Amino acid sequence: MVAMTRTFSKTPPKFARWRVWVQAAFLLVWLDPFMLRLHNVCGPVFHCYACPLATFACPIGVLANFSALHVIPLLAIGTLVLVGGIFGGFVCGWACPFGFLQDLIARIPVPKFHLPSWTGYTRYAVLVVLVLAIPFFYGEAHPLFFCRVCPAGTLEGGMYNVAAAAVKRADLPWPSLPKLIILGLIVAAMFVQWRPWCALFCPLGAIFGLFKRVSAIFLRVDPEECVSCSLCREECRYGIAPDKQIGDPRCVACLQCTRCSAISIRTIFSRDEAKPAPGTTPAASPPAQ
Amino acid sequence: MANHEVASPAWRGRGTGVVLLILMGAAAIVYAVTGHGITVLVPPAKTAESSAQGETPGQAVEPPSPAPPQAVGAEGPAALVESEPALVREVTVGGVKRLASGDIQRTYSGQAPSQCPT
Repeated sequence: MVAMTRTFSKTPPKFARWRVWVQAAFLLVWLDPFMLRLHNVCGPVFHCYACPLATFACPIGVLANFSALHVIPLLAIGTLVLVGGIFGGFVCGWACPFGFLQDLIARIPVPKFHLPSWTGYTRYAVLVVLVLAIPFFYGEAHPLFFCRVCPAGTLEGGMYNVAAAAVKRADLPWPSLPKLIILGLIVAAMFVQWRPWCALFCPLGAIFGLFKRVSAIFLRVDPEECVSCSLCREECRYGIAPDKQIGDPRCVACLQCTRCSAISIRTIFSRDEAKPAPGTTPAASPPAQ
Repeated sequence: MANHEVASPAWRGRGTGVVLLILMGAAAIVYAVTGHGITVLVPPAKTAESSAQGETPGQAVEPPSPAPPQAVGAEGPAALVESEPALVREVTVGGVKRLASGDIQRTYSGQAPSQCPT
């Protein structure tokens, strides 16, 4: 009889408890504390370059604008492939400043809703239609050009400019009404849904989702330890069944599911313990002399 | 019990995929930085200033400044080949647009705008 060694911890593993601090540390990187303004370099996270405190260019903004120019954005594609190939979905859960904002707001104790699993695929519609197709066919002046409706741009660039003008007692440069409505809806949704932007609309999360089954760092279920108790499904905030869909594109690697000892973080350098072949006895250690 | 470790074939395949992705990403970045040039038309100073003021209402427009040397004295727009990182910086401030002819044109002359037009 096989002994079940699976355990389920009441608290996240030690590594997962560092997540908020890692997110805060990355926020400092993206907020350009040294005023470098390296806007000729694509960052790997969703952070609008309209923000006066942005170190790098937003890869989605670059993809949309280059689509409008009919130029292939090799710099943005190379950055996303390189970072996605190494970190996969960990970028969303551990480095993205807009995800960090959603995590902080979600800490306010309000009952949270769970979205149907199919909603995770709406992000690909946003990526294809708003980021690639509309800019390509209609240019950057179209009202549905992604940057014209992006809530991150409204919050980080538009609202910053409003606040700066208010301090100077100048005329307030309010963003357009559609942008304000979209931002208001997304912020309101942050209270009642875990990461609504990431789950429903984020085109960058859609891109990194494609790397989750091929990245160097990934989550793994030990099939011999998993007893399909579904506790990991109850822990997952994004409606994923980690024991069945461990590489799901919607996963942001929050590591809640790693409370179960059957699920762990692995890298391509990790090694499995060799299992004895059926019908053979394990090699005995030499007796002490 | 002997506690040796092995890499399963599936993980070896994953490692190969990761290496390929990293190489492809790095190659794309290197080519974008060193070899990918995009031709941008720089309009004469007068045209550029009026164009910038007319197309970005409400945006803080930089004071008129002399056109870059390439554009001074030119009858039509001068053509510049910009590297991709330079073009990335341009798009962050709405500094370029695509014309109906398919050419890419700067929307300003002299100093670049400081804010994204959206």
